[in-house]
Amino acid sequence: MIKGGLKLDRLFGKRNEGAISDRTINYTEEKIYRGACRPNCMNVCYMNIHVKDGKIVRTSAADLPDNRYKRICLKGLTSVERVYDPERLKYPMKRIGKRGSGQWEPISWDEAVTTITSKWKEVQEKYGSTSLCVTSCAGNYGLLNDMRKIIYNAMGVSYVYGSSDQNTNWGFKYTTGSYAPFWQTNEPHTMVGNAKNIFIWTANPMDSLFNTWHFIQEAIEAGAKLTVIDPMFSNSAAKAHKYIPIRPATDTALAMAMAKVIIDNNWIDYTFLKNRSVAPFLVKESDGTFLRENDLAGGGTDYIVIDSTTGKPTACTSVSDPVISGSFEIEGIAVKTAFTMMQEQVDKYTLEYTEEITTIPADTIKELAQTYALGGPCTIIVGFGNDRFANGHTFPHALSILGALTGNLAKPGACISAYNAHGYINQNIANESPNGKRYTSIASSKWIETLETGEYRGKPLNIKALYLYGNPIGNYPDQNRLLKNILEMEHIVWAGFRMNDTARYADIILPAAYWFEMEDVAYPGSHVYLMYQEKAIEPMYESKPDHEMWRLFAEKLGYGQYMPSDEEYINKVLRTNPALVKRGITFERLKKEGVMRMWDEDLIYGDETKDGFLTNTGRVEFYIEKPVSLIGDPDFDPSITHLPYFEPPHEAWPVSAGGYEANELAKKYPYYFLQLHVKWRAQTSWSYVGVLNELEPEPVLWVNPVDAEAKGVKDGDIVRVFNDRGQCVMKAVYNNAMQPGVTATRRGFQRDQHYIDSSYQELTSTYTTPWANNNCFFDVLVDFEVYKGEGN
Amino acid sequence: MAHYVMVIDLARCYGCQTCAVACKISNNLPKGIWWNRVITVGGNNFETPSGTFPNLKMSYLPINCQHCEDPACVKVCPTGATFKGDNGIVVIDKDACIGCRACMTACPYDARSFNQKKIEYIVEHAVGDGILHEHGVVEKCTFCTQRIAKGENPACMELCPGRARYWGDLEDPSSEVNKVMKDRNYVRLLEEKGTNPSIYYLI
Repeated sequence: MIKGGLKLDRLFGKRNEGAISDRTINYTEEKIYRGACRPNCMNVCYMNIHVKDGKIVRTSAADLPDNRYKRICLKGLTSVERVYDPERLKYPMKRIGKRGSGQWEPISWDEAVTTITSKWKEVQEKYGSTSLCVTSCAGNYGLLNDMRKIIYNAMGVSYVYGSSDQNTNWGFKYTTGSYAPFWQTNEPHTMVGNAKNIFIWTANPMDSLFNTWHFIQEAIEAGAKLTVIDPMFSNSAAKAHKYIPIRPATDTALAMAMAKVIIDNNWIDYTFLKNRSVAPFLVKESDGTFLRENDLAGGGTDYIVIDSTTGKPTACTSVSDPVISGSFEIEGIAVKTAFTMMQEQVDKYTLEYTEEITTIPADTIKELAQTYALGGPCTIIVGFGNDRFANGHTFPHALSILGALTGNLAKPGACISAYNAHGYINQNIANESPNGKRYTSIASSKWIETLETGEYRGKPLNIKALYLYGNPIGNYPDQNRLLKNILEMEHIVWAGFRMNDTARYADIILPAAYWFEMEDVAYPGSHVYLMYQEKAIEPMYESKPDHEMWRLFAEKLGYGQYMPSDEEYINKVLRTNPALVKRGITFERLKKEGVMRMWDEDLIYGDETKDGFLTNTGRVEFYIEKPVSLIGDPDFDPSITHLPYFEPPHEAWPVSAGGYEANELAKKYPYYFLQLHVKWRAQTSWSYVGVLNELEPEPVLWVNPVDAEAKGVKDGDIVRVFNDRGQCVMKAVYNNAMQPGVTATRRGFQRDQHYIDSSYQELTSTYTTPWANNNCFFDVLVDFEVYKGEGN
Repeated sequence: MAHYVMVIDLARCYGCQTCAVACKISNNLPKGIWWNRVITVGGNNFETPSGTFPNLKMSYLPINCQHCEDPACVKVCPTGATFKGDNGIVVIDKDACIGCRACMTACPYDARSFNQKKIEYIVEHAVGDGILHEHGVVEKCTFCTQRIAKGENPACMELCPGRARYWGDLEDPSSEVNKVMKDRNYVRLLEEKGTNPSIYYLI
């Protein structure tokens, strides 16, 4: 029955809803291909790519064998806009006019490849093989991408690898261990119905673990309580039962204080502590390593512990109840248990001291400790919030103490993790070059220094030519200084989909094919399936897959025969990964099945009936016997990192607290400046997608109204955010989520999207530490003011 | 006869905007036009909370045409272009719409959109389900009529990352929507206006 107004009778008879759908395009043919959206958001969604009459019309979430993992997001849904971007690069181009002037002329692939390879030959002959430098940038997680490394190896180039997130990598790798960076996670669904308390600490999963969030929500519905510890009221905090504000980058102090409370109150799971951690191991005073059988008469390699039933030092595998406290002398060797060493370390973190450092009230610290110790199973979800400060390597280390004391590890509902299953596949063997040469790796945090000094770690390394892709200028720290050095290069080549912060400065740019325009294999981010990417459409215009470009370079350089076919390469990669072989994963099977599971069902990391903790001892190593620098930095002092400790960040310490004086620099630049990972972009991918820009149109400075008013900044004013390294001009937005003293931007916009060409990346620094050579993006201080420049 | 409704779980919704974008793409919406919006319930600015640090609150509210049982828009339409169709869907017949926009003023949910000038699409070819649009007429959420005609769910229902969205026939006791509302409290928007909307929000 049609309920209508009383107005004019329609003259055409009864309207039906069918008439409304008259105006559609009548595509004749629809095909659905399957593949993966795979940027650096690290969720990696398996998608249906709907093609009608040869054009991709939409993407949608594809079914997986376990549809709890089925996923898609606002970005992935706009894939059509990325593929058919009107600014999509069509052909190779060479610049005419100065670098950065935006004047380009199309050239043929032949001319591009000839020019590029002759330049490379010339440069390598004159300055050595490492004078050609290739940088890596996250942005296409597929196997074929890496085939280029065969030629990098063959040519002996220098290769800048992304050294971000490495504080967290270091902190976990040497304590609780992991299968691969950040993969020390229980399968997310095991939280549901098992976790009683979930702590989100230095993370914002609602934005960054976008497709894992629903598991957290389901766990809450099943009874879990959520606590979020964060310097700002993040999106995730909005769903928390408890939000705990904290001074930025003091998370380690909080964890140590909680450990002390737990020990002082004897809220300890002794079974776990004694059997699954290094607590009973005996640390030699002489060199800080564990006492082993071969230190004593009798020989053997097992670790020695004191058997509580006999009081005698015994090989640990024959002891079911070891002593965990005390100092001893065994055959003249002075030792102390790892537990006692840890207890002495955490003892410094009294409630009063820690309250001063973190600004968290003593009672709250005690309550957090009690909840964690007695309210288990507990899950701690860790992100990169503290990682982005120079002191971030100690945080996961401190968490390993909490896990060891309370047994909140290796059980359904209990784990400490970055909660991102990075389906790591080792491609090193497949990337070996037949001529036996290797490329030289350079940490991205040391790249500018190398460019400036012509030296890397004490050896000459004179970079003269660059091959870039992605957006290193937008995503590596200290942008002004980086750009200055890049502009001194003799030759710059860039490959990608469309113009960006980096491409603008190249001499030759090459159009890259999109993920759906080629066959490939994608590895999972925060799920468990290896995925086959079907080719849905031909590469647009004259674009080529990145590795195909390198086939052309290789031909010209005499290495053509080094590059295998796509199929050969993928097969070799799969064959040389024992974990995949064990699961019967081959390219042929993968093509047939679409996806194949890479990990065991219901994976519980640390399960002693499976792989246990992937550490040297097989136990949780809150005491690290032989700390190492992730990249062999000679400035690394192992003696201070056996156990975790709090020290302030390098630059971002604007207020004196806990006996640590405020950074003098804070007199000029008093504010913290976080650069938030938000759902709208993955680093600087998706920055120019129109649909997303309609909802989030421009970069902003989120600022507490109190801070803004003190600077005479009104809500919506254009502000200049600045420090000695550069500036970023954007709109100030009042946000009460910001703790006074802490400002933030939502990162991923590019220079030309700011009020004047500028970037948050101008403000960051290349300061790094010997543990992990990490990019410490948030370890900066800034000031801001109403922008008084042109147009305002 | 079916009465299609949407049920949205506000406890689960985390404002990810995926449903808004799904609608945008599936319906080939022009630049600047949104039929499904997810608004922040909090501070004055997008994605900011209300309150003072650290005592803050923020949640999200997805809003589209509420496909009211007693639609304010239908009452004021001078040509009868908009009407309550079968299955409870409030329909706009573009042929009969004269673009007077009385309906937009009448709608208390601000659910309708008007294409002022020449349509600009997001890419050169029609995306999603290939719907074409016209300027000078009012448009809005159609409960993806083009999709339900094929037995598919509306685009915004395909996969909400928060698993917060439900779709079905209120008249069918075994439908998902009835099941999920059984044990939960729910509200509808602006009930005091007497529009009797078909979107139920679980709280």
